[in-house]
Amino acid sequence: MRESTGRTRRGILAGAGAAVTASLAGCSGVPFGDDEATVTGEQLSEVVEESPPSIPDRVPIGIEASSLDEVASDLESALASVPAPFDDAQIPNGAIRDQLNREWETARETLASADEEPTPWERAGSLRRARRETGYVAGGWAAIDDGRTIADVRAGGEALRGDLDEFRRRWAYLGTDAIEAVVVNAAIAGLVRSCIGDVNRVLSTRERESTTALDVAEADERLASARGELGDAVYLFDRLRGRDAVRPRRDALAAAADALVDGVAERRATTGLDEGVFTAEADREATPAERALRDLRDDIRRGDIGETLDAGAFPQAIVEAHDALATIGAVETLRARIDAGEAIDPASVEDVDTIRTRAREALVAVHADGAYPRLDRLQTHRLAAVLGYVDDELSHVDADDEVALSRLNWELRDYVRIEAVARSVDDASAAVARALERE
Amino acid sequence: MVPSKPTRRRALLGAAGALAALAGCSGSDSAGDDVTPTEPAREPFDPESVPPHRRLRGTTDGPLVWLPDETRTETNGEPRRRRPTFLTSREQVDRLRFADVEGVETARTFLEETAFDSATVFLERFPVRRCYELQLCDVSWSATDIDTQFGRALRDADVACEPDARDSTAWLVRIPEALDTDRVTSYGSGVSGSSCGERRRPPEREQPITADAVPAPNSTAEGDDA
Repeated sequence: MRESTGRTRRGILAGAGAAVTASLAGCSGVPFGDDEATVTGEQLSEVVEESPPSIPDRVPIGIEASSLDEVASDLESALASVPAPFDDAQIPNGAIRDQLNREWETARETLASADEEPTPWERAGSLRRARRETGYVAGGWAAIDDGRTIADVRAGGEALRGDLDEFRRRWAYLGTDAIEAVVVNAAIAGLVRSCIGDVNRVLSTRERESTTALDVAEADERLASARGELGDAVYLFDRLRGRDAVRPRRDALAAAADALVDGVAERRATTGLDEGVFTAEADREATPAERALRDLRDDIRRGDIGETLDAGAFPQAIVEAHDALATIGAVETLRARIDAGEAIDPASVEDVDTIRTRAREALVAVHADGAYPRLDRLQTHRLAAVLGYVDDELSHVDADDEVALSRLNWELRDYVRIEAVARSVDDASAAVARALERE
Repeated sequence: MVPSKPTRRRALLGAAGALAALAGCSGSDSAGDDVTPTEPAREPFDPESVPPHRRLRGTTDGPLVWLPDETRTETNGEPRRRRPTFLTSREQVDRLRFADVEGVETARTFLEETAFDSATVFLERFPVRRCYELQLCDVSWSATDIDTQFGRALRDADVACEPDARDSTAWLVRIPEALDTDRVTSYGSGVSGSSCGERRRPPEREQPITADAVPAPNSTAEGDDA
């Protein structure tokens, strides 16, 4: 391992342009200098051999399997009611026919694979996707077979707007404890937000001279999506209010959000994150830690939790504060490491392995030992997904291909970032828990 | 040939050469000047802003309409493809040849009705996938340049077509000006994946629901902590 002061990676990007994040497969054709360190696809496969921890997304509230079974059954019926795959007698226009057949196939696959999701919440997400895809096919076919129009879809959107208004009047920030109130209501808020966006799209759709069955399909896709989002929001809220010892937590959440927003601002100020310019372009010579540090710093400066708080979106503001605190902690960790000359400047496959192992182990540790698993998961399931994605990129390099280490800049940066954030998650969760307990 | 942006755009509202109240037509009305067009505002597509035109469409690979001009043929006598053609006289129209495709009679009538002392017909050719329609969205020109922009829209579901099949189209566009076509040396053309209406549709600003993802303000019955 070489430390950051001993850089040798110069001029190695000739012909490759800036660091490449796109699939690394097939990189071997790109020239690199004679003195440049490389790794083979086989070595990279060994680096990523140990799988990332499985940290699926979940909401800490019982989602009944029977309820999801019912949704799946309804979608199966809806798909079965469409006479697909379509042939040229049913849909003479081949472009429309192909598109609807593709989407029908996708919807079937999504529906079938929803059963394999690791948590009820992830299954619910897959079923929403299947509902959206089914809506597209059913809407497109109804336009062809039954004259369904954009106006019909808009009428459905109007009805859904009424349902959404009714839910928002009923919705309150309930929870058996404050952490549950934050996590579950943030999930509900995410669904409501998506639903608002989808309904807006439906209600803004206008019939055009060139409107075809696929335009109706697209509008119906949005409508179906909005229905799924609202349905799940209603379900989560009803589950929440049906729990024993549940009570309103609005004031507690408001006070905690207020305190956390102030706390984040203070941390930003003390770490000097509000100063300096945004990073315009990555330095090609930067180590993965330096790249990760710059990205984290830019991310934290872009956030505006105050706006979320002002909107009264307390659960979301608390979730954003949790993210900000974990990010600031990661900035401090990386800064200290760079200042101490401990940032790895990768020069061999062993360095790549060390960087990746640290990321995985940090994530495993916080997932296994974190004191606030419901809060930790807000970050950890995402970090695990990114780890899996980056691993996947590296594993796509053919075994015999040789890749310059400089071409792994972005992937190594992501590993470093995962490690640094994972190490800060526990502290961030503790800070949020303290703010919630104060009430 | 490097397509270049025409230096000015002519309005087609009313008389030829009238200056544009059209979006993007800021500038003087003196001919041949170098007014740089401003970024066109995203106004809804107005079919009236496009010059009169006729379209021929056929399943042939060959050209649908051409001038049998020896200076513009390949060595095998076939008409050159893709070379923009202008029609500036009745004599040229008389020599014009058409393939046996849809739209020929309408095109002939269109040409007969053209007054070449004040108009020029621009001939453009484009292939199109059989399941789609091309639409002429915009034409701009100057003394030296001409540019056409097309949109693409799906044909109706009941139009029988295979998705990979292609048709040829030819477009006769009546420019309301007697151009000195020898001076026109720069041609530009583009096809958008969207219809003209979508290309020019203003950004969606309408937000029927402006609420944040929060409980409604009056949902206080359960909202206050006990």
